[in-house]
Amino acid sequence: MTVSHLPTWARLAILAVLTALAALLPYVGLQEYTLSILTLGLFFAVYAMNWDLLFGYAGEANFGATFLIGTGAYTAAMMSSNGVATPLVCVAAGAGAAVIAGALLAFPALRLRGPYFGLVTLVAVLIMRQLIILFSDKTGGEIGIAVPDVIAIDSATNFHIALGAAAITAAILHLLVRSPFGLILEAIGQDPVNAQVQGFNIVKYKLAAFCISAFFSGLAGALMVFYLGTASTNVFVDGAVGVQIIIAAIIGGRRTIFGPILGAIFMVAAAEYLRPLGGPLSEMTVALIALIVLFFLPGGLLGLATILRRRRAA
Amino acid sequence: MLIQLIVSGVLISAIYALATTGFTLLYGVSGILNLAHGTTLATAGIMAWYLIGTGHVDPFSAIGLGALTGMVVGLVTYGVIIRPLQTMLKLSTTDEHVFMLVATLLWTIILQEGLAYTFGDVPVSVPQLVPGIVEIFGVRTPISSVLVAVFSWLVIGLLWFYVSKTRSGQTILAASMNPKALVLCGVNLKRVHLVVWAIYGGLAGIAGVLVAMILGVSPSGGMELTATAFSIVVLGGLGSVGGTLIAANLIGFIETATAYAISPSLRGLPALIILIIVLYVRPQGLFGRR
Repeated sequence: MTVSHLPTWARLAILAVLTALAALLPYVGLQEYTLSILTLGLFFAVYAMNWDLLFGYAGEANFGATFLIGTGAYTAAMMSSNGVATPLVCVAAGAGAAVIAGALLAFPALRLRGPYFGLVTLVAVLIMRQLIILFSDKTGGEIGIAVPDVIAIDSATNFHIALGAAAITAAILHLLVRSPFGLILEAIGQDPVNAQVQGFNIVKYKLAAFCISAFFSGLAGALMVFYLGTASTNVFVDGAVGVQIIIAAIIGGRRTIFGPILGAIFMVAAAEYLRPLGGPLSEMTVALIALIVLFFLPGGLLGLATILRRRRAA
Repeated sequence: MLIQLIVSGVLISAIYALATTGFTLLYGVSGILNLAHGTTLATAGIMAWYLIGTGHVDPFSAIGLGALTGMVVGLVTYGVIIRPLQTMLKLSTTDEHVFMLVATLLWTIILQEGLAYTFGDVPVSVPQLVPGIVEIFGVRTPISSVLVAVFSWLVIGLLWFYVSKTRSGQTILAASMNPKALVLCGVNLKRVHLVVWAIYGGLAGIAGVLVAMILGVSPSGGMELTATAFSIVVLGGLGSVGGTLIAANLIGFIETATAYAISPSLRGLPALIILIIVLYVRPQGLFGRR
């Protein structure tokens, strides 16, 4: 019996066991540096999983993932730097603001078909970036905004926060895509006309998916602000970061939710491993690998597992 | 002030018009949004800058070499990215659409980082065609900029002549209207696509050198050029060349006005906001067909 045939509860049990094992990583003599890379990789995994929910299931390419992440991150950072609230309240507010901003963006945008939705999400990032620079006295502009508070200083605790965020997101999204809601979403993504004929309100379902995606993206963005200590446009509101999230999700395997976790960790690890090549060459290599995966393994790394299993069965 | 605005607006709009006609032609015929468009422009611009820097090439021939560079990049994009994606993977139409966007995006990064590695990620500009300044309605304007604007419209005129008056151009037009019927008439659609990609690349190459002359280009600035081109094309209506030309002037003027009235660093912002509003009110663009 292979993983893809397991019932949902068994998959969640595997996820729980893997999470518990991963939680032990800080205590097995891992370097602080490695731990910090894994922490960023796990935040990245949350972004990639949520992108997969929209792309893999709802069939919408969101080029503006950083619009949602950035809204969460900047809301939390600005509240915290003005001393309005404690970190946890800031994080909750960040997630809430991301949902509101996401709904405002998506509600009109989802009526658009084809490439227009992707375009609007991309433009949203560009506009947000310009606005942040325009109101630099409040937002810190291009330099960024420093956050005075931290949730935890200890690197193990920070790793556990990121791990928890990734694991909870994975579990909830997995349950979601296996639920009737997820099946309808998948149907809409694969054949919108047919789904509409069946009587499903396409915009309503896509909007719900977008808001869920916004919630987790904003939450992780806000958490990451408190981990990094600053919010800056190059990390949180950048089209290039959005592209990296897309690459991570595609490499990992779209329409799998778990695949993007692999993809995100692969991306962060590859960036570290290739660092000696220098910025341009390492980014070029990562893009090249992603392109090759796209061509030869359209199902991603998790798709590879499926192919190998079919071969063995045949 | 107003006259100055109009003069600069006309000049910049001419380049925008040239830089986006190829993009919209490509979409009209092959249905592909080439997200590597801006980087194709940047590649040609940087190549021209490099060749002029070696001292063997004057700016006029650099435009020709830029066109050649653009053509090579266009054909490589088609041969290495687009064609394999269409033939190798059996994708549904929706999937193919998104895969195309992602693949051209990855291709953008590969091109951009390749340029940054070879030439360094710094903004470069191509020297002016000729020195000197001319007064237009009292506005002091470099002669070179005027030449660039005239040249841009000339190339657009040539393209119009080619598409509407020659047999080969008519075939391309037919391919954008009804490819299936064209195949039934015995036309090799693959060859039509090759021709379109070559024309697209040539146009992008010329535009890239001209953009490098007026605004300057950098490897990482390619994506911003794509965003501007995308805004113009969508505003005018995807695939509508006439709409694109009008939208290019609209955006050109708005950007110039913003740069003068508010701040040069915000020149792109109003165009983006207008784009969003237009998309919400009229998703097919100002002059597009449904």
